[in-house]
Amino acid sequence: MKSLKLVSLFLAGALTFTLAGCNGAETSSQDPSTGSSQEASKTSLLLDGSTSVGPLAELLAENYTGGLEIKVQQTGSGTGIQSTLDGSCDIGMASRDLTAEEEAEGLVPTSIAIDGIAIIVNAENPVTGLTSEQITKIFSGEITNWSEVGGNDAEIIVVSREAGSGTRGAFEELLSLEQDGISLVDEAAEVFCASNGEVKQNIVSKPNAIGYLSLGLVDDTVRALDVDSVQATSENILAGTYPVARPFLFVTKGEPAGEVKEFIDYVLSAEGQELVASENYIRVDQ
Amino acid sequence: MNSRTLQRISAETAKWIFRAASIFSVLALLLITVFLIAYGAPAIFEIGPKEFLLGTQWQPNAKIFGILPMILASIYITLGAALIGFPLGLLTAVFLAEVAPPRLANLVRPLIKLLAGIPSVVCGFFGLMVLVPRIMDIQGAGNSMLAAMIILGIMILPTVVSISETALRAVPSSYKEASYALGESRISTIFRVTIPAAKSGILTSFALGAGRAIGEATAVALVAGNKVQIPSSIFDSVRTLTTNCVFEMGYASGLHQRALFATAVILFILIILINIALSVLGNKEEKHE
Repeated sequence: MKSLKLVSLFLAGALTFTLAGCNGAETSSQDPSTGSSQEASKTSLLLDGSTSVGPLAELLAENYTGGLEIKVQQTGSGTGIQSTLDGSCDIGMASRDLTAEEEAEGLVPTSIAIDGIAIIVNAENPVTGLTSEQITKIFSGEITNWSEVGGNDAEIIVVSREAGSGTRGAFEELLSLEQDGISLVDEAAEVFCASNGEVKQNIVSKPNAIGYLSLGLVDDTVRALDVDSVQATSENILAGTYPVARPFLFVTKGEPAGEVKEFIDYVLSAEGQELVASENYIRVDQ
Repeated sequence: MNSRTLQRISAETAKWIFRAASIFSVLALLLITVFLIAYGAPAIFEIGPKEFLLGTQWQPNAKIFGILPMILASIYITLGAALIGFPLGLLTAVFLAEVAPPRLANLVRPLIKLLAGIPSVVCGFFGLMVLVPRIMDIQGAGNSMLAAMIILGIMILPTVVSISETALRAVPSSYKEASYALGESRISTIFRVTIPAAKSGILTSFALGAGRAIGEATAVALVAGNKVQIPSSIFDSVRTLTTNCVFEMGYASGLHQRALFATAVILFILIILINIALSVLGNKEEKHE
């Protein structure tokens, strides 16, 4: 009978959902406050945060040969830090230093690489370098035309990131673009993007745009400007002559322990750091 | 137990399953609404209604939460999307219901439904790669209110077209025949008889389309520029209420997070107002008839 079939189908569905709900114990989060390892061993780790650290984390996850499954989510440094705090991820990825408040909440940063921030322009833009003063003036709206810095007579289109971006936070700190908690770029920028990838897209499609990007993500489609006549390369960052650089952090609530420590140890090992260097980031073990 | 009793038992069980399903749906809506208002409304008073609703600066780190630029952006963009999507959608529905030969209609209809299946992020990306550079050639950075209006106008087409077409088809043929009998032409009948008769369904499609437009976050975030400013032209970069929530909800905490929920409450109120306005419009016309 039709309605009987309906009832049995509904009951079967309800049963399935209940059973599926009971299976949620697999991905329990690590006990953060004591830093001790869980009773039940974990089989997977969730990394969440910076879109700058994300690609490197994905590469490390791919090459990791331990028993854990590593999942990487790229939602921005701010979000990753928040997720680590409330326990919804195992390791937060941040592309800027932690603030005093964040460290006071019990977050522990582990530096896994150093990355430069490239100031990028469209590949067709004749300008090849700027002084840090010029960059600060462009991103705060004091300089508005490319002709003022030796380029074409065209309005500069400033591209920035969302407020929670680690890249943005590091960039604004290094170039004095923040005043009393208010970003000076908010007024000057015309376009705000939610990830490094989106910034790159906007620069590629606008001849007069300028933006900032994780150095590891720069390729032939955009041009990285020289800053104070220093080229944006990892060698120059190591030498200390290219000033716009920030650490890539794996953030944990409390000291890393258990499976989390296993993965972080791998990342800090010679093998992990080889991968870091292979992607043009700077290793932290030398 | 005989087959009649069994039949009655299954009928009753079925009725209870349907009741349970509708209770669950209404409960889900109530829970979301109550949670939203409980979490967000107090923030409006904590920040101060005037500072919140009429403030023009959004600087969470300095505890400044003003959403006027975003309210205006959401309203303008929805209006623009409506101006593009409603006429286009209604006329397409008329084409499908009244004018097109059945074979052509059966070809066009699934194509429009396919448009509904395209994910918002793909529409937004299309806007960023194809539409934004063209707008940049005219004025500004390209990422603008205009880009958002056009993309949203296209995205609400399937909703408007399919519901309007259903409404138009539901008009009894006796109305149309009476009109022809009185000497009216086909086109005249469509505009003076069929469309007014289908008014309530058409207005429903408009309400749903407008709701989709004002609530869209992903596509708008990719093409609107997202600058917090009161726009002075359609070529200006703007940030909508939805984009603001999407950008910052992931990492916000404390008052900042509650302010974002308050933003969502305002959005909710706007959607309710749109629905009320459109339904009042529908009822007013019916009274005259």
